[in-house]
Amino acid sequence: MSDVYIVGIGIHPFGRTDGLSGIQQGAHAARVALADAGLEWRDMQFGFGGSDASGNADTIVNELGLTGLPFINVKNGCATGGSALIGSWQAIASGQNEVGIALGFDKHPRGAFNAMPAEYSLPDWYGEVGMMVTTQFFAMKLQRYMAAYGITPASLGRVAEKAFDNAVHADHAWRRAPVDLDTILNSQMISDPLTKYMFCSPAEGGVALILASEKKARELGRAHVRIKAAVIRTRPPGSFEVFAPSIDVKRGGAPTLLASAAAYEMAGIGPQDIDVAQLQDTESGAEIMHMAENGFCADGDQEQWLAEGWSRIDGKLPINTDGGCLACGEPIGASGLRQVYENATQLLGRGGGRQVPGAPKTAYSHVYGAPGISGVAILER
Amino acid sequence: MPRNGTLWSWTVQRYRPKSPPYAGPEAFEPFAIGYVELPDAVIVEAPLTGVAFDAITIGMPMQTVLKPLNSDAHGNTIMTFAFAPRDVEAVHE
Repeated sequence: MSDVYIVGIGIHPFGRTDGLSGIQQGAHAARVALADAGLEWRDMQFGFGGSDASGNADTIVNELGLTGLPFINVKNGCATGGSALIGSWQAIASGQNEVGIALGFDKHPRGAFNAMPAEYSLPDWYGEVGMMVTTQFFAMKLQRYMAAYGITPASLGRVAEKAFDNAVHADHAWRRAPVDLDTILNSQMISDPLTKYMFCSPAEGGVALILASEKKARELGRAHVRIKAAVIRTRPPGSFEVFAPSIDVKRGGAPTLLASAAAYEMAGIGPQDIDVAQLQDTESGAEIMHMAENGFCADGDQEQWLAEGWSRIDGKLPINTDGGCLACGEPIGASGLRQVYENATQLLGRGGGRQVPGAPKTAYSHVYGAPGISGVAILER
Repeated sequence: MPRNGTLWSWTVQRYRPKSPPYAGPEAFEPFAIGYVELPDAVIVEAPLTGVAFDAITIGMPMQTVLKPLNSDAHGNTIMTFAFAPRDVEAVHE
């Protein structure tokens, strides 16, 4: 396949924006991305996009212009953004198009996601006894991991502390004030071992990326950031996912392991070659477990990584340089593309106070979510 | 299905889940939940009962029990299955 470049990036700040719908935040991101690329909406030959809870993305033509472009709606849970990216990439790599847009947006109500058993093919009693709660799953996957590999609560706190420190320098982040380690560790316990500051919250936001062929990117003078891999994978047998009344005694893999391996193979590089990474941090422990699942360290080594600051901006592998989901919140349809936006920002050297030193050349992003789906993208400068 | 097993993982629900679907009492008390591995069968999720939160440890022996969840509109007790620590000494009774 021929090379595809990201020639424009745009974001609507994450968090809460009263008075703007999810799709309006997506349209804002699209306008910023188009301006960044030096292009107009009428130049777009196609669009892929979606939201989880804010309606059909193709109605964005009402906001941006009735140009008649083909627009494919994507609704793929936490992998909505990643799926839009894959569709757009293939639409250009196939040779059928020169330039197009991938976008994602969302606007969720305040408070924890409120799932009903029937939506997940589960019996009502599962919710009635109080187990239809996503935070429990994250806590229990983490409890077992911590016991098996010697991860301490202090490390959970350090992940959150780093997120808020990084977000101070990210204009698009939601929670931009530093929070000290003691405050994080001693804040309200939500689901043991995770406290309030260790969980991300549902939020709002929009992200858009303009993709182009190598020829078009060179014409625009923007052949800088190339997509090396973009994959999604569903769960293998024996994985442990949210809302599971029972799981197999014979333990198996995880969707992240599959997506990660496929992305490295597609890119022809390995974890040791990555300069900056954005990893799904629904809660602090998720970032820790995903460091190992994506191949960046062995299980248990995270304890030393966090104590030594190796995943901070100036560390050997900076992780979640814009504060991740912990500081940005999680608008499901936009969250995966935010990671790609942040990686492009880092590769272009536009990170400002959060810029990774040494001109990073490779960047990795990873999404994980219900019902057991993972997406990985690798960019190269 | 074996009635006894060992605790595979656990957490404590510290805030009242949203209703619906939660059907527990309005006056909320935090409760523990966990996964118990029933040997050679399956790992099952259920509320935990009869154990202090700070005494819960992965690997502890557990047994299946019934516990009251709430009362219905007619005053009947609604029961749910749960896991409680197993007194290994008393198992043969």
